[in-house]
Amino acid sequence: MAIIRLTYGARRLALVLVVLLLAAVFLLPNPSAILLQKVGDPLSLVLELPITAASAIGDSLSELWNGYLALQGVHTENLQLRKEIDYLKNQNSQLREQAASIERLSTLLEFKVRQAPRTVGAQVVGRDATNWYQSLILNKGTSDGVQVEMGVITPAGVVGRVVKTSSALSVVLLISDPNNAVAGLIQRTRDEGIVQGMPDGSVKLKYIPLLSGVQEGDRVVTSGLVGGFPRGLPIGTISRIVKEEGDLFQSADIVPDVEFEKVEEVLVITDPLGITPSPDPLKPESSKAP
Amino acid sequence: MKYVIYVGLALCLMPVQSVFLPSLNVGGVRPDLGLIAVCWVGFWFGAYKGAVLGLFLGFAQDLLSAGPFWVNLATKAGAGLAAGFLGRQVTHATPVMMAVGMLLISLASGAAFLMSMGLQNLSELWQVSRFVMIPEAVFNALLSTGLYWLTVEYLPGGRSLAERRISFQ
Repeated sequence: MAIIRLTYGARRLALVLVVLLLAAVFLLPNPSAILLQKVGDPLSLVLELPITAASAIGDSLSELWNGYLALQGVHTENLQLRKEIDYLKNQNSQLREQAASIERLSTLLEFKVRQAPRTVGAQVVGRDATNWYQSLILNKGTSDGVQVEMGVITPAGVVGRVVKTSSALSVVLLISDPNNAVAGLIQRTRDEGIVQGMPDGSVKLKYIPLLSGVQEGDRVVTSGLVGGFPRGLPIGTISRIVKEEGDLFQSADIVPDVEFEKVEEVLVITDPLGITPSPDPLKPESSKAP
Repeated sequence: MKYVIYVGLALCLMPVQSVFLPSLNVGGVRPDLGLIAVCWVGFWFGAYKGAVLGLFLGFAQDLLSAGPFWVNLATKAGAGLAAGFLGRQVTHATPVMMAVGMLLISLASGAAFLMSMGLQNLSELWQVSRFVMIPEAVFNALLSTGLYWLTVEYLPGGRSLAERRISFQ
């Protein structure tokens, strides 16, 4: 086996080359990013294996903890959940009744039925490798049809949007990240705003008109104005309204419906308009397990 | 051989950083293991090795982060270089010196991240610094100091590594 040993002069030259490379990356961020993305594609295939393995080990440990060691208070929780199920069953039957009557009325009025979005199921295998962004790493990439700017949801509500993809992995920026913004709609008042994350991890609805009658407890859903998400997906509930004198708009704090720390599986919206109809709005089209 | 070690380190550290550490955060902030490893290698084994490891680790970290593709690559390689150059000026390493050095490098790396984020006003800048940059720098400094102490006190050959370093100067 050949042993390559750099001489002092060669090492100094290599160091200068590293510095020049860094300067090029720093001064020309966009061309460098395109090049690095292409180079990174095969590396992501290599990285996928240890990350998936680590994620599986983490899941097993968490299952062990939740299944055997943290059972205190489960009985009380069980009773509470049973009560909740009874309440939700009752509410569900009422909503089914309302849905049926809306369907009848829509048919009468010949409304075009909005199609459900097409989705691909994916598993969360990790979180952002830095503290600077709030994001999730998914085990699906371009080879599974996942593209940048696609919306990501769970049955509970909106999670975020895809910002980076490689053939095997993709990165989803959460709606609680300050760099993310989603067009939102207050369900009761029909006022629109922008849902944006804050540096402390909270979520705000910004740019609500001053004359809006928004109240605490109002539900916020996606407005469907910006690509990635269809209209009406739940985002969260308004917990506090901020209205300051002299401001042109009011804003509100939102408690998101999705608990981002506990998300394990997600659905990536590949077609928000749902050109091909699916019987279940949240059923993934992919036959592969997430 | 060392390049294989660097790739292996990147493949081991990144899953730990993005899979296990999020569950072990303090106040939502976790240490940057990549930065600590790069500074460690740069400080003990020279700027060139630190920079090369920084390139590998930074690139892997960029693939697993929502930020632009160049930030981790540039900051990690830069941190490796800086640690190497700082290491050459030091004749006797102490825990306090390690803590201050790591704190300064972490803050400089954080400043590069702040620049890349293009924050629009001072209030946002201060909030991100308060919630991310400063806690992470403190966390990195504490962890690397602990690592130094463990290496010198308990690792077989750790003390001799420190002493050999002194004799190199």
